[in-house]
Amino acid sequence: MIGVREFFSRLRNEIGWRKEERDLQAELADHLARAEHDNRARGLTPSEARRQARLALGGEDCAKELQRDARGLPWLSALRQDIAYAARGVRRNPGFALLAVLTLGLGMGASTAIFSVANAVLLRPLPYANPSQLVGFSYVRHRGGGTVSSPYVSLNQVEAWRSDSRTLASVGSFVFSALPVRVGDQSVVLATVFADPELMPTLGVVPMVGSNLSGTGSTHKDNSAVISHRLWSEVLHSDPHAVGRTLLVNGESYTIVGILPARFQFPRRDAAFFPEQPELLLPVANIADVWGRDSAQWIAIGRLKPGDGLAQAQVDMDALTARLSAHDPGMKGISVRLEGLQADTTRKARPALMIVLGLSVVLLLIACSNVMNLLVARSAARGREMMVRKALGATTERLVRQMLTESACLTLIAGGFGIFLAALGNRALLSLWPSFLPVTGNVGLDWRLLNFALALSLVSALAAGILPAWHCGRPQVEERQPGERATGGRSFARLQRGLMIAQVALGMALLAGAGLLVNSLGRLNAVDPGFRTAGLLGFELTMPTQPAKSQAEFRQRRLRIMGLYNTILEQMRAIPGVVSVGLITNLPPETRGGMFMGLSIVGLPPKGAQSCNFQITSEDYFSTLAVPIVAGRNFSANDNFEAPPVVIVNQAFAQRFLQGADALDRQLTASFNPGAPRRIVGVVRDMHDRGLGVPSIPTVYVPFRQFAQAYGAVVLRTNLSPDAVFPVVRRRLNQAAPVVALDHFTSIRDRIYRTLDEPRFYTTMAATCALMALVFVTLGLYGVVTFSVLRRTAEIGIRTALGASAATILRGVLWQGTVMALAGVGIGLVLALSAGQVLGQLLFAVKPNDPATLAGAAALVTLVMLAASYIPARRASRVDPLIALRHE
Amino acid sequence: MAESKLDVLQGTLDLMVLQTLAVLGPQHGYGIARRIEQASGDSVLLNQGTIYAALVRLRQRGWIAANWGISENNRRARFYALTTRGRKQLASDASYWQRLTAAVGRVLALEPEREGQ
Repeated sequence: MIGVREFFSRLRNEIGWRKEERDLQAELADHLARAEHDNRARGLTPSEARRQARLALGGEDCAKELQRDARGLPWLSALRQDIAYAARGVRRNPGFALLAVLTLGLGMGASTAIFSVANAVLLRPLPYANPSQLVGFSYVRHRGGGTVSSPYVSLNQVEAWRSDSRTLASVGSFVFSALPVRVGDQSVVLATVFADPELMPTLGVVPMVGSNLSGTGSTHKDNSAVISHRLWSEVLHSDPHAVGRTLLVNGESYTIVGILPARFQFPRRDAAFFPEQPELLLPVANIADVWGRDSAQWIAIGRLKPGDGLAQAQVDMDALTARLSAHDPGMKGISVRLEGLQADTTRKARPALMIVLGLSVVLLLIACSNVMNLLVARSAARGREMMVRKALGATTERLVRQMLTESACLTLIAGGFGIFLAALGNRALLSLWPSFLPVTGNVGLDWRLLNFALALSLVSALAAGILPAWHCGRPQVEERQPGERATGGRSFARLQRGLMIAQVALGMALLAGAGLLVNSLGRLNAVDPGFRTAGLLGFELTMPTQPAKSQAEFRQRRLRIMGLYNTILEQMRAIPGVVSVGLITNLPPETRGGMFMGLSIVGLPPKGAQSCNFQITSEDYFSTLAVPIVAGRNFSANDNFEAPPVVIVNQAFAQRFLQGADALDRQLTASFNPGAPRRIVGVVRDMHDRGLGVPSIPTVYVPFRQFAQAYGAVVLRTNLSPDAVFPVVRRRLNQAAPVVALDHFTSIRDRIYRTLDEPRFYTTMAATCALMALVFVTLGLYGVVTFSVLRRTAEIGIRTALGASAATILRGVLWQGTVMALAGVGIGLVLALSAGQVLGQLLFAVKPNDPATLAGAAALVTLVMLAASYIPARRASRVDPLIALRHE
Repeated sequence: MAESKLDVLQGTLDLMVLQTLAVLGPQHGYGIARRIEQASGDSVLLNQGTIYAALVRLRQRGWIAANWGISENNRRARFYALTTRGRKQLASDASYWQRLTAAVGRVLALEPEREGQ
């Protein structure tokens, strides 16, 4: 071992190599001159004196070499030589280097880009203080043998946990919402969070300016607001005196008390109903009573006491739930599950991302083994050179080191290229990014990503370098048989075939997996939504509301809202080119939101806690969507505030709650007005209004003339383009109802398209991996067969000379490629079948062992492999025996 | 002739160089090499070339310092001198060497013991 001081001294000498050489030269010259002088003084002849001086020195070059080794870092010089040698190799054979760098770079680029997604979603710690102490809560209901978990809990439970838990240091709760806010002369809908004052301290987040919400729990009502950094900078123009200013939110004046930090993101975006980042933080107390403290619609986040583990907290929570359930019938059959907040947030996205990450790793493996094959081929081709170098005295270790240096150089270049590609790929992935994937922070290339890329580079270098290095370390000069050609032996060919079959197998499995996903996406796309989408547009409406202080005021407000909706619908109907207009609570398809309320059927015993989706509609809604009423009647304008309360249910409702019995004239009671049972007057056909491929859920439709709600959505059927309709809609809405904010204007087809963002995202990633794998494997097989043809040129020449026809030769070579392809496809099929189960949960209407997909993938791989071996096979069949034999 | 001379043991050359510099003061490489040969009564077989590797080693450890000067006949010559650290190193190395040789001497002086049985 050398010390640090010596290391740096040696390093300095390495850097100032030329000067050190000059000095050494001068020193030795001085030495020889002195020795010669002394020798002459002893009476020797001048020439003898010089000879003796050199003899005593033991050879000038030897002395220099000894001194160089002592003064510098020998491994560094060797490395320099190796790199120079590798560079010379690249210049001599740029095609090889280009192919290796491209293959490895593409493989690494894809893996790194996909890793960046996995990193942002699964690995990057949440941007809160000590994020590992944070936990999320879920209600787990046992239903039909399985369990259903939901991130929404009741406020009453939150209060109980806060006061009674021994393992939770604090609990914060909140709910995502959207409110109309007056900005300038327009009403805009802003994503909003209603939270208790405990939420921010639980997350460990302090407002950048000003203070948090005040009070404790969900009882302290006041009109204070904490705003996002974006709202502050973009709407308030970074006003330094923003704290204390007021905002007109939901028709009421709110005072800004604080501004959130720029990088702050609200937690549990996976549980939000809309993709926008919330811009407002308001006291949950303001809506707690109206929305219902005991309904499971709130999101809770807890912080464990330092030193308390999740398991301990769960035990504590189970005991607590058992105790609380005794007093709370709503908690019957529900258990509360605690989970690390990060794991809880990524629960839904994880399987798909893990699978895609797995696919990208397989792609990297293929790229590595491809490059390894290239290196093996090259080192086989360089067998003669290695023999010569060994004969000249190069040690095995030195040869191995040089081969490793070469592959490391290639890999590092490929790594740089890969990082570049990853940055590009990252941008492409971001444009495909499904808005609901819970991301924390930017999905950029960060140090963690670079480390990953570097680690990949080095592992690849070792993998790609170790085999050829080991091979070139083996040949002993004396082991070579005189007749053996220097273009590589049988062991190379065997190794190559093995690698090739492994590549085909992995590529086949990848293609099969991606094929299943593509197939599944195709079937999802082809699902009939159950309503006519052509020419259907929609937008959302939000109007300010305040809880009424008296019954009379309540009634008056409701009438006002109903009047507003009526006006809006009339205005929309009057737009030229609009055929039909309907009102609904949530625009179809709505994959997350909904108005989930408890219900009971009069005369039927409840089966545990019953709830379903309530939708407020106009009488034109079903006709606008072209969904038939299958029994009973539609709503009419007469189903108003004065008339007896009625509802229409869908088939799924009848099935679930009435066991398919006749639904008409049954009465149901909804939790939002328990005193007034509503009569079922019609049954509407089920539609996929929760997303394609998602089964219909029990839904109750309530006429808007009987129940008012401050938010809703309008659907229009028109033969005009959305772009033509939008300005008219906006103008008419602004004139007729300036307090109403319009949001999310879109074609329904576009909305349906976006519900498939997530499957499209991972399917695109998987398909990209699979296609790249196919290209790699094709190039790989082409390379291997070409190499074997080259190796066997002489043999083929002899066979041709002995009368073998071109067709025979062609068949022979083709057969060789086919055997590898078929072996690989067979193994790949087994792989695909055994790994297919993992994919199962992502597939829609496609079984993981779908014969058509697997057969298609197998056929594609086989065909491409045949094509890849055909080219070299043809070349082989045209070998001129004379040239081939002269080649020997 | 070669058989009668002693090969320089690994590590001992460094010690001899340090000692030579301690006795002679600043000296060039040739001078050091000659001095070691003379002092040992020409009984040490010194490949003079190895002296330069030793000098680099000692310099890198900070035990000697090198300065360029002009020799009597106007050539550039490098002179080496002991540093303070080198002097300390010499003292400890010398005493180590002496203890070692004494111990080796004692072991070699052992009489062969009678075989049992």
